[in-house]
Amino acid sequence: MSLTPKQTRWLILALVVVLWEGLPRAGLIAPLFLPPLTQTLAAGFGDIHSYASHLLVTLGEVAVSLVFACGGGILVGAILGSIPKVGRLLLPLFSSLYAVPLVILYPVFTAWFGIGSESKIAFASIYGFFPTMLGTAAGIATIDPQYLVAARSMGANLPQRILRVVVPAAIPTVLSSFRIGGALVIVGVVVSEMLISSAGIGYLITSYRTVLDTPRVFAAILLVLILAIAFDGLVQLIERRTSAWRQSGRSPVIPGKAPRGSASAAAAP
Amino acid sequence: MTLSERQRASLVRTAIVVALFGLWELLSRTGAVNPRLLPPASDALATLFELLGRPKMRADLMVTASEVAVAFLLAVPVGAAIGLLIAESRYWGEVLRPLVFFLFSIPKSIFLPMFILAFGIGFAQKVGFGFFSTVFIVAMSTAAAVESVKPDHVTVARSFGATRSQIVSRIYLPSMMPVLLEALRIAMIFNFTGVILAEMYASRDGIGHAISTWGENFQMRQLFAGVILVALIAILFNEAVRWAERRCEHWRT
Amino acid sequence: MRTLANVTELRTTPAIRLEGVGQIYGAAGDTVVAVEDVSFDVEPGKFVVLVGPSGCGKSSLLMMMAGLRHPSGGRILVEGKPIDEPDPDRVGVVFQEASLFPWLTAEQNVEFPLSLKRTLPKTERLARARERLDLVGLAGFEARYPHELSGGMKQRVSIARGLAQDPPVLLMDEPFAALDEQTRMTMGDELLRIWAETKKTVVFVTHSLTEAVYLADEVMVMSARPGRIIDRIKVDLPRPRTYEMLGGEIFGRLRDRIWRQIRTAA
Ligand SMILES: Nc1ncnc2c1ncn2[C@@H]1O[C@H](COP(=O)(O)OP(=O)(O)OP(=O)(O)O)[C@@H](O)[C@H]1O
Ligand SMILES: [Mg+2]
Repeated sequence: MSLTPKQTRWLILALVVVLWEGLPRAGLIAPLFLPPLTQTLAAGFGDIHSYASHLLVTLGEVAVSLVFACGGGILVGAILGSIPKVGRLLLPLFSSLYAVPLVILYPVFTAWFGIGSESKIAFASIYGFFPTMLGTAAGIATIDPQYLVAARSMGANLPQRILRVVVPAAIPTVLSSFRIGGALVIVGVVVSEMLISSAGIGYLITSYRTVLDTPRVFAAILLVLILAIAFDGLVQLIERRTSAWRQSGRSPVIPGKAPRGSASAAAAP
Repeated sequence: MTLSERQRASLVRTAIVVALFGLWELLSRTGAVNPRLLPPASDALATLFELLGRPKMRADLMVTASEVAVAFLLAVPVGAAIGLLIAESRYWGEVLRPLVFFLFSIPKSIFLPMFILAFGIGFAQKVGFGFFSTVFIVAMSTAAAVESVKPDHVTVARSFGATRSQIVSRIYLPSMMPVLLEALRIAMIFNFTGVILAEMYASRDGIGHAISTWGENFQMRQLFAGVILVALIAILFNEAVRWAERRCEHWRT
Repeated sequence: MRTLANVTELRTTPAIRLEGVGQIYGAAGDTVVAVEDVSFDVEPGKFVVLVGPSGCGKSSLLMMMAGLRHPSGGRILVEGKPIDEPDPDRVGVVFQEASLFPWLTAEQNVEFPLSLKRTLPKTERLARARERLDLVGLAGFEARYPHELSGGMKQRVSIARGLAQDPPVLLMDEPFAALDEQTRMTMGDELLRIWAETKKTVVFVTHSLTEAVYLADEVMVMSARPGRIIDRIKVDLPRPRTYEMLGGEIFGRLRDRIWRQIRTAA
């Protein structure tokens, strides 16, 4: 083959864009299923104010949920990870819980907190909490005890050991857990908005869908995608920035390898 | 009688779960939490058994089960084929790997409306979305599973004159088994979640639809019964596969 | 009148014969000549050790003798017949550590090569496997999985597996490289015992010069890439070899000679 893999990849992407534009225009796909790309973009930019105000609602919910999910997840994960006994006892319970489609809890939250932001925040927090917590606990638990022994032999006291050994050693895991948890929080907020709500990007998606305004549905979906990718890129940037001084320069989620456990959590259903 | 550490740990875990249910019961019974919002655990469990006797409920479960099964049976071979292509072909591996990884890591749920626009509301839409939620993780894990086969083992088998099909069945399959089992388990989690979400979003039947209806109508006892039921099914399946995984854990190298 | 030497030469086909064997890796333009023009005979029942600098093509040579790779040039005869593909009835191979299948027990690992052909019924295959495990001193460990065995025991299973089909030739690629020194010494003695009992022809690759001299009837020294045989050194130490010989004068002299060859070759 004469094309390099990279060229072929770009060719495939270009083909997707062309087909997205061409198939509906040529009438091969009903525009109701798939509006042409340009029409989608036009719909998005035409309604930019409405999108922006709903995006703001979504972002607010995401921000609050991030604090609960990632803050709580990292805290609890760090505790469980650093007390091996408790961790060994509880982690199996949590990983069983991971198998449960948590979305079934959302109706409970709407019944409890109403259809405003509270129910979204409750759901997204829980949704992001477990993977963040599990990831952090696993990461902390694998810190080489040899480091701590070495630090002790050099006369480091407990705060020093935590600040100068545990924290730097844990940063990569914590960041990757944050990345996974954050992605899930975004999905959690948008999905719950899609299910029952009165505002937010997810709400827009559903309300445009019910009136079959497909271009606007697609524009909203694109917006969420961009949000998710931007968040991921941002955390990756931080990961790279910190990788200069951390021991293992390897991000736990390696593109291309399916890292067990962590990445399965990274992919939001 | 002395218990092994593992037995003791599972005993403590069981105790924790029972205690949580006890706390739930207590909070509700004493009125510390409004029983209309949190019905007692015993009520929810009683409702669960009563629901299981109803033909409508059984029909809903059957619908969900068949959607899950069909989506899974479609996603596994397709995903596995893509994964094999990635792992076995150098060229297509390099082409597809970043694409599949990208698709694997973006949120799938937001595409749910597209499936309704394409398939309408019904079996096909839910199966389609379940398939879409699952196929990429299957592809990624299959590639990882194939790559976990050690070239040394293949060489050994060849040196003993193994044929191609013998290498597949006696080296590839057992080598891949631990990774594959985990993959199937996680794929099933994704698949189940996808179908339930699709049912909750727009559907006329299925357990997910039932749950969201109970939520909208403030039928809290039914709602909690449904939540327990779905959680139980998910956990039981997960534990069964995990048990099998543990049995071949030491195959990993 | 023929001399005695001539008679033996006529009677015996060499167990292994290499004629101008070469191996070239890579596609056009970007090639590596790993092995070049190697020719030698190994008499039946001999223990030959192959040494040489890292990357000189020892493994490549062994792979070709096992029929796992085709030579780019020349030909290889085992028992007088060309070897074009793996033939476990003629050649058994023992690999470096961790080549045991972790999903099979010791017994099933040894039975594996026999089970590929299915010429023997299962009970007989298992009986044969147990017999081989017995030979390598692992009676009683049949049901253990590799992860339940020590490094030395794993290599014993590997040897038993290489011998499963009772091939006249046994090829071993750094089989003891991953073992600690004590285990390695023991395994060397064990291998010599098994070799004496089974009368196999052995080609053994190692990086350890002590191991080479201790085990070998003859040591072949390869040059750095492209690998060629640059010296063949007969080891005239009596058998059975003993630990005391290691400090002896002959032993030291042989080892020095090999070392000098490798140093100039590298
Ligand atoms: N499949 C291959 N493709 C390309 N080059 C190869 C391949 N296998 C081996 N080589 C190259 O051929 C040369 C000989 O390799 P080989 O493994 O036979 O050496 P060796 O003597 O066994 O080395 P070592 O002592 O490290 O085991 C090396 O330079 C190696 O890089
Ligand atoms: Mg080698």
